[in-house]
Amino acid sequence: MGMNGTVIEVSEVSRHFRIAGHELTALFGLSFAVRRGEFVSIIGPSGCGKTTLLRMLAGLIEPHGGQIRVGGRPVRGPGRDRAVVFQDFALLPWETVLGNVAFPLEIQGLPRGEREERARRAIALVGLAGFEASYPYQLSGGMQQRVGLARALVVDPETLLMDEPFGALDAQTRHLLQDEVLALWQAHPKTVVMVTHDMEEAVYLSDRVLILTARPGRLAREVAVPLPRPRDESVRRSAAFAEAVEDVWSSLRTLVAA
Amino acid sequence: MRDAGRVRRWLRARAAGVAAVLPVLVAWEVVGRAGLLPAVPPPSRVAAAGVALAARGQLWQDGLRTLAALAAGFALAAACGLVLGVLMGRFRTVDAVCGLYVDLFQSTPAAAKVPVLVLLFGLGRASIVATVFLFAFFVITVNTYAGVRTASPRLIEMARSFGAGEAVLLRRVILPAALPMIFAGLRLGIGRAVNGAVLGEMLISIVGIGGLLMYYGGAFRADAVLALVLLIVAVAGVLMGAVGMLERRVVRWAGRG
Ligand SMILES: Nc1ncnc2c1ncn2[C@@H]1O[C@H](COP(=O)(O)OP(=O)(O)O)[C@@H](O)[C@H]1O
Ligand SMILES: [Mg+2]
Repeated sequence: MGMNGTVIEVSEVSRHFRIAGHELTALFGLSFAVRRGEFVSIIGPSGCGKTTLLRMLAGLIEPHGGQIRVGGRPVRGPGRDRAVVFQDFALLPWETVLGNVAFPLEIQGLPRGEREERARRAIALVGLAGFEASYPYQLSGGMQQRVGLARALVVDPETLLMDEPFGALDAQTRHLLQDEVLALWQAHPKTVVMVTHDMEEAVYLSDRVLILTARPGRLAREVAVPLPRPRDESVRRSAAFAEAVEDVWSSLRTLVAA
Repeated sequence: MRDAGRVRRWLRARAAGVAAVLPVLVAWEVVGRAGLLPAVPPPSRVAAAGVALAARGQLWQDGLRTLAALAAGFALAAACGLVLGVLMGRFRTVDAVCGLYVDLFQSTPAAAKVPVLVLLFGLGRASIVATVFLFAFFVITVNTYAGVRTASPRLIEMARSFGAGEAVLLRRVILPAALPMIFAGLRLGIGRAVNGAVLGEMLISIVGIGGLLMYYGGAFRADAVLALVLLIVAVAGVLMGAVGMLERRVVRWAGRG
């Protein structure tokens, strides 16, 4: 598989939930593909199954119909080729920053010396050097999500799965972290699937934006972002950026019109 | 020097407690000396009876006997309660099968279980250990269960996403989250275990501190009875304090999450 080969293949995927005896269809007949090294955002009305999709990509739950392949193989459970960044950070409150970032390596059974060394590097990468011994409750939301990001990067996954990673942060912090993720991704390219409800964030970071319909979620449209790489902060003020955001919004507004 | 500082700090932290006890002691002494209530000897006489008891080997022998039964029964209760609580918290079927019995047993008056234990274990040591066990087991089980259920599904999912199996999940996510509740259960459990030990010795075989209580009670020696009761309260307090200290050591992060 070359640099531009398909890494993720979602084919006719559907997923139901049973709530109080009722069958609820979260996703139905969803198909799309992601190329290696591509940054793809998923946007859609709330409740349309975005988190469900990400959990299936992560191997935490199974599709009820269709198939998901990652790296050519059907997904059967979590794997070292994928790592998740969670919206609510999901940090262990009784562990330090170092302990949290080293946790995935601990699960993999690496010896302490090696996992701490790798964890320290990941912590430095997200700009948290010096905070290794801090506990999550001592950190701001933005710093906590940097820890979440470092914890995902420490396993050096081929694919990064992010579920509204900046959704719980205030606007300024979100901006800053977007800039950092952009710089990180440009320096260390990875395949990224990011769920977001922020259109500007989707356009700023992505190569492609997938727009899902209201529940049951299907692919409504995809928008290729025509902004050149490498990008930086100044892109946000360009006319092309505003146009791309407008393009996404014009599709989305018809879907969320209640 | 540092020890003196620590003692002073300890005293200052407990000044309110001491201030609350002193007037009661004084009033008690006055009432006792006045001889208004024959069953209430003044604290000075209770203290004297305590010293006299301590001077005889009997108290230490009986005390050790009680402590041994307490330790054995509590250790068993803690081990079984932790295991059952975790299993009930993690597996729905275990919860369905055992939950009903745990609730049922927990709400039975403890003293009503003692005759059954005598039938099962006879009038010896085993019955007293079993009493301690039964008194402490359920509260430890229920608290462990509740603690395990407080573990955040998001953290469990996070650990799973990085490939954690059930063992890692338990050791690194579920138990740490459950620790505050588990320790609360152990603290309650130790208080009940002391209850169980003394009650068992009084109701089953007249031995240990419970036996001494029965003996002096029968002889209408209120001073000695009160001295023994105070001793029991002190022992229970020390043991609960020890669990609390262990907790502060283990659960450094509690209440900050
Ligand atoms: N574990 C679950 N049990 C029951 N219903 C669920 C579960 N997870 C998601 N759902 C339902 O599926 C739908 C899609 O949820 P989700 O994927 O979280 O949407 P989104 O992330 O797009 O807001 C929602 O209606 C939600 O209530
Ligand atoms: Mg969601």
